[in-house]
Formats: sequence, structure tokens, C-alpha cells
Amino acid sequence: MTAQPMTFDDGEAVRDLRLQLRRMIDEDLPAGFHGAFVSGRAGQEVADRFCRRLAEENLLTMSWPREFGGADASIWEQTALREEMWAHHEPRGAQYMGLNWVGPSIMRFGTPAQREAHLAAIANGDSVWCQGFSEPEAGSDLASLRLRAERTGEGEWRLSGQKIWTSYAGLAQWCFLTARTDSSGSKHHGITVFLVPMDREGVTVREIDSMLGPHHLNEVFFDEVVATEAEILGELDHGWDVIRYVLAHERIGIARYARSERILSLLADRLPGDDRPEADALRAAHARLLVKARTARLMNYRAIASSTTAEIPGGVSGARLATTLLDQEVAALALEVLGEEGLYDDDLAPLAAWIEEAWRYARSATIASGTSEVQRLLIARAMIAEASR
Amino acid sequence: MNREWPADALAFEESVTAALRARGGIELTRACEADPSRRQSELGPLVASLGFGDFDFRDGEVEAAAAALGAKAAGRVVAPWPLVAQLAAPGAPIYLVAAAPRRAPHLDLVAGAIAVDLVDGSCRRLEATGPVERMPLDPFGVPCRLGEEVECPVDAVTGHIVIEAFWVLGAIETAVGLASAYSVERSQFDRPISSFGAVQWRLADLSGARSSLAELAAYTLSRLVDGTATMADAWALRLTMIESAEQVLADSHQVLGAIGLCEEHDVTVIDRHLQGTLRRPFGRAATNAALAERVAAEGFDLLYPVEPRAASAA
Repeated sequence: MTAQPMTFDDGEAVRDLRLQLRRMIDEDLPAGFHGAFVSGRAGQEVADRFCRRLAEENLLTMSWPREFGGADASIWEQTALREEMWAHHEPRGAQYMGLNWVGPSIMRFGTPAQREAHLAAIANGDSVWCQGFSEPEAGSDLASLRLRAERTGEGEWRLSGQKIWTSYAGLAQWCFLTARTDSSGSKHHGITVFLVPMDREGVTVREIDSMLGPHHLNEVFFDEVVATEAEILGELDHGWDVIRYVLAHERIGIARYARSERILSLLADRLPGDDRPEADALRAAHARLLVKARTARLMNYRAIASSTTAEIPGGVSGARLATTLLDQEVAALALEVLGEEGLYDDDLAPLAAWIEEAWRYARSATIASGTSEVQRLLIARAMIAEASR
Repeated sequence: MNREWPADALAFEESVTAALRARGGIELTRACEADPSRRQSELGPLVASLGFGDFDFRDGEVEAAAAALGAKAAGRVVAPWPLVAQLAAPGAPIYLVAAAPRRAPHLDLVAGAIAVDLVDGSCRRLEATGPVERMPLDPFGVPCRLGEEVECPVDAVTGHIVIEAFWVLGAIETAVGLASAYSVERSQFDRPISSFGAVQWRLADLSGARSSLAELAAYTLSRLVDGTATMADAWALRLTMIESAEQVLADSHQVLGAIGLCEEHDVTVIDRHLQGTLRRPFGRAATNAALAERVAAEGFDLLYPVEPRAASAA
């Protein structure tokens, strides 16, 4: 039999990249940094500095093609970058959206003028974007969106309606906005994507207090906001193609499992070592989640690899479901292990008060970017399609 | 990172699948349960002709992949042959035990079997003391006793656990396929049951359980091949194997309804025939405890590894 090795080793270049990133994180992130969300504008300033450092080291846009100023990094280098960032509270702050899917969407669907206007700014860490998808009446069912765009003259549109659950809206300079431009056909037709500056007259942001912390959730109101033809991304009425492209990037773009792995690793030192039944139970629960974390990562790797080779039915959704359920189980176990101390967010709290934030944030894991119900539906549909062939 | 199986190993899997299908697939398993002598007369020659005895999983990645995928193909029809015991230690089939076992599956078919005691680490001869005694959840159990102490075979325990996981993976892939096919064929309230959200939920969980085991089994096999697999890795895989199988079997039955409980339905055969594998040498709770103990002793490799407890305390 001939040799044709299967290996899960991601190679020397990826190992070196991880070491470089961990060194930068150690050097540049202040103790107790829990991300731009948690620390508000001060956190975003840390993120801005970190992004400039990444840009200096040619790491900020490493996933982008060279023709757009990137480094054509391999999918496994990109994966390592996402993992290290997410495991350390996403120190790119709001920039991760611009890098992960706004930039690539503009490369894929944008005009030369849009590419020139936006890509360099994203690459330099100079512009923060928010995602204007969800609406009060259209949560998981994105295509039911109602925010209207009406043509008012040659090359001009007026936007009216409301978006909700918009992360970073208060910090963003630009909105990647979906609007209804035609209601006469199917609901997936007649959607158009606009790239709208957040300081335009008629745009109002209202922060929503939530258990997740500041800047996570916002409402954004559009009151007769003027947009131009030049601000349309992709084809008029064919925005659903853009949305599908974005969602595929977004669902796989967040390496939540890396954060779970880091928490589990830190928790290991805090497990009780005695032979009380409850101590045995905690050690067993911790060990079981180590396995689930490893498995969730492998499922993500499978989904990532399948995007470059043969597709697997429901692969991305399966990986995301495993990852988000893990996120919640790890957060629950962490509170269980730390007990009352895990509830506190002061200077004396264990693990720099990370756990109480991780637990609050984990509540959103199975809701944000496609609920676990939607992921299960997508997996089931792929299975049904396969079984029906 | 290369996650593709070696072509030769995939070809071997295909040849095993085709050969078993040609002999009736799960129908042959039913026949062997009714008349255990058909294992010797039909399966024995088939296993020999397929060449299972020609390679050793310790001889490199292609051989290891062939052993794993061959076991998976046999698992698809829960082929009643001690294939895992033989593949884990060619020449001296091994049985993993936690104490002196009362019965061991298919022990009447092999010579020179060794029982590896996972509690004290000792290895002893395992001898049959009677013929197969058919029971619903242990259809090929053979009464047995421990004999003299012998040398333990190299890497056999981790090898056994990994290859067995592939055997179980094959079995649950069949169950998942049967459940999803039935969900589109079966109509209730004038529509296929696959159109009901509750059924779709179960289909998604079936898929997740299957994928979890498939990914972890491939990963653990690669660690076995490159010599980095620990007992913590092996117990991690076994725990996933048990949890995935229990979920798939329960959800498959639920999708199939009453028909899935009938002996004529393949899911029933798979379910009954897997129970011994899921409980020998011990079940979910004890496997989890063994995993926790090995993690404390050896650590666990992740992006942020867990250090051995003694080392981290030092």
C-alpha cells in the first residue's frame, strides 16, 4: 500500500504564527482587557492600537488576496489568527467584521470606486462597520426585512425603517445595510445592500441595555436617509446573493471554540483535587468538556476544509451548533467550579473576572448569527435533500 | 493539514462493504444470530479472503487507515466477527476487561485470546468454557475464564479503542441513513414526517452525533499513527463513541416509531448488537471517570493544553 498521509498538524508556518500572535497579545493587551464590548470606548482604543500593530506586522489583512493588499494567507493561517484573537477577547474589536466579511464582500461584489473607498480604510484599521441586517419583525427570517429604500430621483434613494440588535452601531462609521427595494416578487428578491455612512442625516442609534454589556445591542433608526446609486453593493434587488455570501463567512468566521478551550485550560488549575463526590463530578464534567471542545474544533476544521474541497451537507451549521452549545456548557461549568467568586466582576474575582462576562455572553451564543434552531433546520434540510435523491 | 483518507484504505473499505453486501449485509448478521455456526462457515472465510489478516495497524498510516475503515465497513452491518479484537493485536486477539468477565463475544472463534485488565494493567489468557449463549443484548456471548498471565501486546489497548470506535461509527452511520431515509418516505397527517420541526430537530442531532464521532475518530487515529496518542486521547474517543451511539440509537428509534422496534428492522439489530460494545469493559460513567483520571495524570492536548495535574501544581 502506498503512503498518502492524513495529518492534523497545521504546519510550522501556522505554529510560528501562533507564537508571534501570543507574544504580541502578551506585550500589547493590558491586564484585564475583556474586549472592546466590555471596556467600551477605552476598549476600542486598545483595539485600534492593536490593529495598527497587526497592520505593521502585515497580519491585519493577511487573509485578503495580494491584489487587495493582503498576504494570501492559507486557510489554516487564517484559522489560527481567528482562534488566537477570539481566545483573547477579539482584540481587533469591531474591526473583525470589516476584515472577515465586509472587506471580502466588497472585493467580491463592489465596484472599483467602492473598493478604492473602503478596502484601504478597513486594511488600515481606520473604519469601523456595523451590520444592518436584523429588524424587529425579521430576526432569523432575514428575508422578511421591511426597511424601505425608495427611488426619489435619478441615482438617489431614501431609506426609512429600523434595524435592531446591531453590534457596534454606536462606534461604527459605516453600516452594511440591507433594504427592501422591491416588494412585488418573492421575499428573497427585491433586497438591496447599501453601504451607508453612520453620520448621515436621519440615522439615529439607540443603545439597548442588556446582560451582554455596552455596545453589544443597539437599535438604528433610518428616517428618510438619503443614499446614492453609488452606495449600492452588488446588483439592485439581488442583495440576497450578498447576504448569503456574508452569512457563510460570518458563521465560520468566529472561533468561539478557541475561547472555550482557553477557559477550560485555565479552569484545570482551579478544579478541586480531593475525593469528595462533588469534586469527582466536577473533574469528570471538565474532562468531558475537554473532549467536546476538541471535537467542536475538529468539526470546524472539517467545515473549513470542505469550503476548499467537496462540500459536506450542513457542515458549517453542524460545526456552529457544536461550538455554540459548547460555549454555554463551558461557561456554566466555569461558574460551577468557581462558585460564588465567579459571579463577581471586581479586582478580586478569579481569572480577572472573565468568567462572569463569559457566562453572560454565552447566553447569546445560540442566538446570535443564526439561532441554534435555524442551524438545526439547515442541517436537517441538507439531510432530507440527500435522503430524497 | 491533510484530512483525506489514503486511496488504498478507501478502496479496502469499499471492497469490505461490497463483499458484506453481497452476502446479505445485516441479513447475514440475523442469520448468524439464529445459527452461530454460520459465522465459521460464511464470515470466517470472507474475513480471511478480504485480507484483514495481511496488515497491522502499527505498520504505518495506510495500514492503520485500512484497519479503521475496514472495521467501519464491517460495523455498518454489525458483522458478527471479533474483528476489532483481531485487528488490535494481530496474532493474539485482545479483549479489554475491568475484572474477570463472565462472557466474551465470539471467544469461540479465536485462539490465543488475551484479556487486558484495564484496572490493574495485567494481561492473562482468556479461555472459552462453553459455546455461544444467545441473549437479546449479548447475542454472541461465550462463557469464559481467565488463565495464566502473559506479556501484554504493544499499543493494543489504544489500538483496540480506536478501531472499535470506527466499528461503532459504521453502525451508527447505517442507523442515521435509515432514519433520514424513513423520514422522507413516511407520511403522517398527509405530509412526510421530515417536514415536522420536531423530527428535523432529531435529524440534526443525529447528524451532530455522527460527525462528532467521525471527526474525533480520524483525529485520534492520526495521533495513534504518529505515536502521540495517550490513554486520555483513547478514553476521550471512547466517551464520544458511547455518547454518539446512545444519541443516534435513541433518536433513530424515535424517528422510526414502532417499526424501528421490530426485529425485522435493521435499527433494532444494530441497537441490540451494539450494547455489549458500549458497556465492555465499562460504560459511560466509568469511561468519563477514567478520562478524568488520565487527564490529571497526562494532561490533554488542545490549542491551550491542560497540563498534568502534578506538573501544574509543582
